[in-house]
Amino acid sequence: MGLKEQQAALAKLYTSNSLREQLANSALRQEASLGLSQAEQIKLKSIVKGDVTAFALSLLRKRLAQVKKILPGTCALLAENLSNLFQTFAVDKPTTGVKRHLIDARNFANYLVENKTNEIFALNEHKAVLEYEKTWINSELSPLHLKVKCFRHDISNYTTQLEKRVTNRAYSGKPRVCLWFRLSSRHRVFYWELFPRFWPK
Amino acid sequence: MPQTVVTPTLELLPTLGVGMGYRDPLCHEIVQCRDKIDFLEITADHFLQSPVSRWRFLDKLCSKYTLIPHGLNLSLGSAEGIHLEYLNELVELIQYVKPPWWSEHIAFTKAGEIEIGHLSPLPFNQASINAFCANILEVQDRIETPIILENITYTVDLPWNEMEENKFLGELLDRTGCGLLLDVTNLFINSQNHGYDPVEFLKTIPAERIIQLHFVGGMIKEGKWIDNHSQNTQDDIFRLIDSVLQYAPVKGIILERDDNFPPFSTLTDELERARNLGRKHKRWA
Repeated sequence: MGLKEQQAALAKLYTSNSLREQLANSALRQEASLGLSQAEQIKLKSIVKGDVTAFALSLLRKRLAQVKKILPGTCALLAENLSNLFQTFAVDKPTTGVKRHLIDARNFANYLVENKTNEIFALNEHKAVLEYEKTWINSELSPLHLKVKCFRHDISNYTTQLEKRVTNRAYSGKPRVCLWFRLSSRHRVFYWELFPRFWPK
Repeated sequence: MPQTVVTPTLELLPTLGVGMGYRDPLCHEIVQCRDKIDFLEITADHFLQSPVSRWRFLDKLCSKYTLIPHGLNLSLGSAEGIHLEYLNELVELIQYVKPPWWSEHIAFTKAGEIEIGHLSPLPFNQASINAFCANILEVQDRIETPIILENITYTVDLPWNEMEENKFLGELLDRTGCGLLLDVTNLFINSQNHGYDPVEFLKTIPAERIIQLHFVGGMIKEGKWIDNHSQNTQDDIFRLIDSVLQYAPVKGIILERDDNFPPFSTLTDELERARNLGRKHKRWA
């Protein structure tokens, strides 16, 4: 087995929970045998449950740490559910590209949107936080971007409170019109937030 | 087999002193504390594919500090070749910053179309050294600025290892002709996790190639030392820095703190402690 195949096998094992389990349980199917010889399988099997899995978990922790920075409000809302949800999402999905953390965060946000059983985002103001942060990521990833979204409350302030872990969070009911604009990949995202000066309480 | 690269004149590289890795949350303090920080290391990934305003900010940093770009994802150890998209971006950054040197890791981060997203250790064998040398040649074809290579931590003893870590490192440096960015914390962590004496290890690698050091505190998690870059530096690590400075012609030291930031004065105190060690061994004034 050459270096190229060795590295490919390691990359698959580091990023695929199911492959690690198959190898650990001696249930590696022929088509997914990673090209390992019998002797290599035996050697790797002896470390897959310990060292290889520990490496894979540290990879997931590093990914999650980056996603927390990109989706601070959403991750704060998920609280103790965050780790399990992220692990379920990320376990067999490696990251890609120079902007892989942004892409990872976008994919995680999409996963949360699609995960209908997730009761955390049943509340409208929580759903809005996810939508708001997802729009930011899409703006950062698109070379040319124009997006206008309406929210029923002061979304940016509420998200900041979540990010700073403010315990007695509050939001004003003034609606917001948020606008993201990016001219090209060499320009930053411009953001405007419009709201009515007067609004009944 | 790839030919051995001609050794660049490492001894002609300038002495930079003691600095830190630039991190956005510390932006204000870093810009203000020019007198306590000799130079900065920037993580290349934080600036690649960034808008013009981010590069304007680089101009501001460049006007105050010498900047050393530090890559994470070139995947120099990949048998299938380096990450070309990343290299193209890196070339642009290095041309813009014009550093005296830049650095990357002795690791692979992609294989078989999978981006691992993590610095993964290479099997300690000749095939890894051959692949690494071929990749270094390709990089040096695009970037003339000297590259130095950083040692990483490893927890997995791979079944394809044919030699010890020190022999692998020494041969890799000899064959590539590159300098070493010795991460003292990684050396300390590997020595603890794999049960060897780090000072004895130092005596077996080419000291004249150690150009720069990294340091930060490590921590124990589930019985093993890990490098999470979020702890204050332990005395053991400072003692190891002292040992390295005793005999290696170190040009610069970088505190590599990424998270869990203490008051900024704690960081500058650590810089001063490292600076004094350098003075003690006459590495700088």
